[in-house]
Amino acid sequence: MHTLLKLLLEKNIISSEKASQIIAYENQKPVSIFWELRSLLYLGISCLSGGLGILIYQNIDSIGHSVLIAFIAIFCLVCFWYSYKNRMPFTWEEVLNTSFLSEYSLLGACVLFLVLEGYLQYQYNFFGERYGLATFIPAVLFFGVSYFFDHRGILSMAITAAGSWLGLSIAPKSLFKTFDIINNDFIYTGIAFGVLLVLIGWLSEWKDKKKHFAFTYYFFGANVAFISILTALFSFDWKFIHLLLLLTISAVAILHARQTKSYLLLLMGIIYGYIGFTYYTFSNFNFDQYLFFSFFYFMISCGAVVYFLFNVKSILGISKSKNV
Amino acid sequence: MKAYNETWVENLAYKSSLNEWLKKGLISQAELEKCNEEVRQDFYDPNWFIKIGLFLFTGIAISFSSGIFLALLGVGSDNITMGVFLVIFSVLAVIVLEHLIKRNKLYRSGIDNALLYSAIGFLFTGILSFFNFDFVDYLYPLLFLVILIPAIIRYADPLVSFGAFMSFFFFIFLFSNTYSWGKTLLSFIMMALSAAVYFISKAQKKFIYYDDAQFVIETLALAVFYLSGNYYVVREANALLNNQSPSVEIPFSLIFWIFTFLVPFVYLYLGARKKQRNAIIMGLLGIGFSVFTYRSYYSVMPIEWALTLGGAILIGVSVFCIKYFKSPKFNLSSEAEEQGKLQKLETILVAQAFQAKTSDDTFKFGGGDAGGAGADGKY
Repeated sequence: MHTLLKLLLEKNIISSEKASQIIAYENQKPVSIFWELRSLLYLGISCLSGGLGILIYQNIDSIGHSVLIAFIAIFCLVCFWYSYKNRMPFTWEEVLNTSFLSEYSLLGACVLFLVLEGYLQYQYNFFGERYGLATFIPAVLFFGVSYFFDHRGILSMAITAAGSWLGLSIAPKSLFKTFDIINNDFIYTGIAFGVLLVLIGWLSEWKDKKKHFAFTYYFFGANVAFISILTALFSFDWKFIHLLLLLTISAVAILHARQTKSYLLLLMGIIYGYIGFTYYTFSNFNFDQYLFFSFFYFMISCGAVVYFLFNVKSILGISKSKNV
Repeated sequence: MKAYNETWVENLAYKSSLNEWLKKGLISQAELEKCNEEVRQDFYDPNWFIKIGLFLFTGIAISFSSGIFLALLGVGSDNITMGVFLVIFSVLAVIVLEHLIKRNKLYRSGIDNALLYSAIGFLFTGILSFFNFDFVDYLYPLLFLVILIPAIIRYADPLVSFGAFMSFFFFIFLFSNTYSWGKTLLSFIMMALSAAVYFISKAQKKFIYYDDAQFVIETLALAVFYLSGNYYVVREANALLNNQSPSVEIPFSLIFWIFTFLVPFVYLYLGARKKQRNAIIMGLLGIGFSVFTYRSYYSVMPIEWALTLGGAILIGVSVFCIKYFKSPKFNLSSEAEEQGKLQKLETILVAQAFQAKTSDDTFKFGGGDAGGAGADGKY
């Protein structure tokens, strides 16, 4: 630090007054423990809800279901009310400096809403056989809430709920754990849903309406679409058609980087596209007999991908300016 | 000595503090531009997602290109031939690495990381296969350490320094176990050595080039120091080494109890005083582990009450701290340094923790495990 200041002083770029100001700033600068405290809070919430869950489970006979349901409902409403009272005025931009307490009470309210709904169904068969309704209601509610209060966490809850409504289990862990998450009947629904999500993300970026939500849409949408289509490629006939579809989506994802200079979709497009392409190649050519060719295939194809990624900016014609 | 252009590495560090000063209004935009002229660097610096992709695909390419030769050799070949080939691969990887760093101005770009790690891996397995994979157990980490140290000096890679630190302490652990006095004094040896590593590293702050590597080593030293004085670790390790099950009370237990509860608070205090964020984090984690340690031997209350009360206390403390440190006190502040970067990740994690379940299993859960993040059977 001081070497830098010395250098700048020597070159007469900053005055010695400024340098001493900077030194004073560096000396009094506090350490930010923002993330540490936030993690503690999450941990506390997890412990508390887990502990309370067990306690209630053990004592359900003496508490009674209706009392419990009333209690959850009241608590849920209180949480909603608190965040509503402390809300920031609505805007299509990102709302900065929200009070963290109202943020968490909003999150709590939404979680409690899910608990309440599940409880009602479990105990009183509230929704009967209309299971769809039970996931449709939270999806709609959460989408509304996330836009109204500008809360990205609730947006991802809304997306997972909407996925559940369609019969897809798209929470991140199950997404990555296995390719079997999607029942065969839902594969095309999954592709459509994923593409739709990506489109919404793209629209929100393009029209500048809640631009910062785009990342969440992209993350879920691209993963769902790619995994669904890979599953289709692995388990259905018409492999060539599915491969073409996959490569088309990959190409769109790669070209998207050119427009937005954000590389999440590009990376996903390359990885998923590579998996699909490799699978297709190996399922059509009998590499067992030509072991060396398979080694050369990986060598050359990976080399090509590295070359592409390394020169991605000049290949796609992206200007030098950086954008994370 | 150093593979990457050292001035550029330094300028990279300077640049981030210049940007910070600009944000705080300490220097003007015009001044920043003049400063940037002075602290020029020209590393290839792509987006994070690109780096991940580069690392992944370089890694696959390397393993298959070496695989070709190993397949040519055939499975039945003797260890010496295989060792020779592996060492040759290692040398080749280093040559390519050096060449690319020079020509393409790489700096932790994924490509150079993958090449470096595979060069180390090839050399390590190559040397092992010269000796037919037949070593006394403590020589494995020692050999690994001997390979890693030159790599740290030249490339200053954080992950390599992580490996070096771990293999050093693994070596000490295994080596002490060959002597009976070593077994008895193990925890004191580990504490002394981790403290020594920490203070030596702290005293050597001449080069910005090694900042990240040193940060990793210091953080790990803090962790090892705490853990090797922790009652639970000492008692269970002692039982494991002497084949006792269940574990029995250890000698000097009072000393270890004191360490268990004192060290985290010392970390917190010193972390705040010296503005060491890693010490603060280690202190917090240490307090958590100390509570766990106490509960493992003295059951104060049933688990559900412990979770409920502990959770309530945690929520209370963190809410209080977030409010209390809003305006900085004791060098600490609860305001975010920069918003946005980690928050994206947080939203994804939220969806994992609090998900709406699919129609198939929504109605199977009872009151007990309804949706709560921590309630899925871990406790």
